[in-house]
Amino acid sequence: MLRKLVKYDLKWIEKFMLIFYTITIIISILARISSNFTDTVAGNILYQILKATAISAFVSTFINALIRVLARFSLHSYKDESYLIHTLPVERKTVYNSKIVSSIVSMFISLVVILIGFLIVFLDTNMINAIKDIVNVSGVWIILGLALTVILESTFMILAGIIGMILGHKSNNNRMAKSVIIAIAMYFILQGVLLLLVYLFGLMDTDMNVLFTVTENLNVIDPMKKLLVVVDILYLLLVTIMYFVGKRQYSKGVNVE
Amino acid sequence: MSLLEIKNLNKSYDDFKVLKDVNLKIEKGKIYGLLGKNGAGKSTLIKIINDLLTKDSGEVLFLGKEIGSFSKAHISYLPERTYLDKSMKVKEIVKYFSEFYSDFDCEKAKKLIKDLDLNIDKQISKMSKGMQEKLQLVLVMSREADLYILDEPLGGVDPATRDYILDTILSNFKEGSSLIISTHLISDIERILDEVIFIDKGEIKLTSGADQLREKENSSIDEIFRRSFKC
Repeated sequence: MLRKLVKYDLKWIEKFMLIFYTITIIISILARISSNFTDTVAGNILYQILKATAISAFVSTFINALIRVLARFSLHSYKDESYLIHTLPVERKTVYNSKIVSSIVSMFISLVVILIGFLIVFLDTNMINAIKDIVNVSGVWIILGLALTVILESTFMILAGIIGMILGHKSNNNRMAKSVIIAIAMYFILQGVLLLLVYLFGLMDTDMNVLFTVTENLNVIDPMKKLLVVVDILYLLLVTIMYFVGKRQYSKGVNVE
Repeated sequence: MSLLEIKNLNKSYDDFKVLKDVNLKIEKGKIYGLLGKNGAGKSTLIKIINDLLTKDSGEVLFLGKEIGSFSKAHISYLPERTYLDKSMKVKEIVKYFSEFYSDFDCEKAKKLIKDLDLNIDKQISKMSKGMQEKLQLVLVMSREADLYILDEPLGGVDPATRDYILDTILSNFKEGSSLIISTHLISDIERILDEVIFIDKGEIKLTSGADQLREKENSSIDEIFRRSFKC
């Protein structure tokens, strides 16, 4: 049943997102092509405009993917379509899991499209050399660690939105307004806690401490390695706790509109 | 064992009690009319039976088990609103139902869709509200369920279509199963009822066999209802 639910969720989300993916890639390709004509003023202006448009498309793709997955959760949990979803012969925790899986997969796809678009626009020999240097010094895992941080941050955003909706809909009035307030408050409070924990860890660790105290002649690779590990572990912990809190609250039952 | 048993069910919104200590038994093989004025608590009761609302206290048991995925596999529910994914085509929603409900009869659904002049290739968003309601009725009645719960199936429908909908319901629900029809349009459905349940201000006021009640009061259910709940 989980597989079937995920299949329909992904179909609904990606059908819409395909438009954004196509626009992002087309603008990225146009920006790349226009980079060959920067020796004239008009060509340079065109390149700068297309580059800025491509960056806007990256941001727009990310935001729309986030909105789309949260809209799916809201529609299926509390709006008209909830009358269908909650009367399917499926455990409520399976419905919850399907939303989490489809949301993470959708956000991952949008991040991959953004990365492809970014590389189309900006990849040049300087960037290749910089990546090679980083990989030679610290291994390929630092790039993987960074990618994991981005995926965990996206998951964190999704879960903040979903838990906000679950808690907001426990009340009888102003459910959507309460959902938004709870989600935003939870996001910023937990981000603050995460930053504080990273800072406290930095105070106790001499390697990481240089990131907060030294401004010149800084060797960032080793402290950055540690920082990434700490951030990823903390994110993983937070995301896991949020997942179980949401699952528990959702399994207790819903009040459809 | 009763098909559905509700014990001491309570539900309130803030300080307003919508359901007050509701006790009810639904037996196998009967057609029940859940009758009450607008805002009497009919839809709230039905939503709780279908796990769409949380209850404050009490029990809702289907074949002796608390409602959940087991009861949902055996209850076919028609809500009072349009609830299908409007981005889907009719044939896609038929496939969707057949994937999730093991008791869904795909061929029966296709036949009913044809009989009701619905286009199987049409997108749901491009259908009128009336067409969407017909499609929902087809999907619900194409299941071989033990209990059918229809919430206001005649709401907003012209009198000629009401008879057609009632005939569709009667000729398609599984033999031996039970049916709960919630409505305030009593005169239209009283001919098909075996049992009646009067609900008012969140309380069950009366449960009785339809024929016994008519004989006892020497009038139609509609007249009895009008007398009982006169404003």
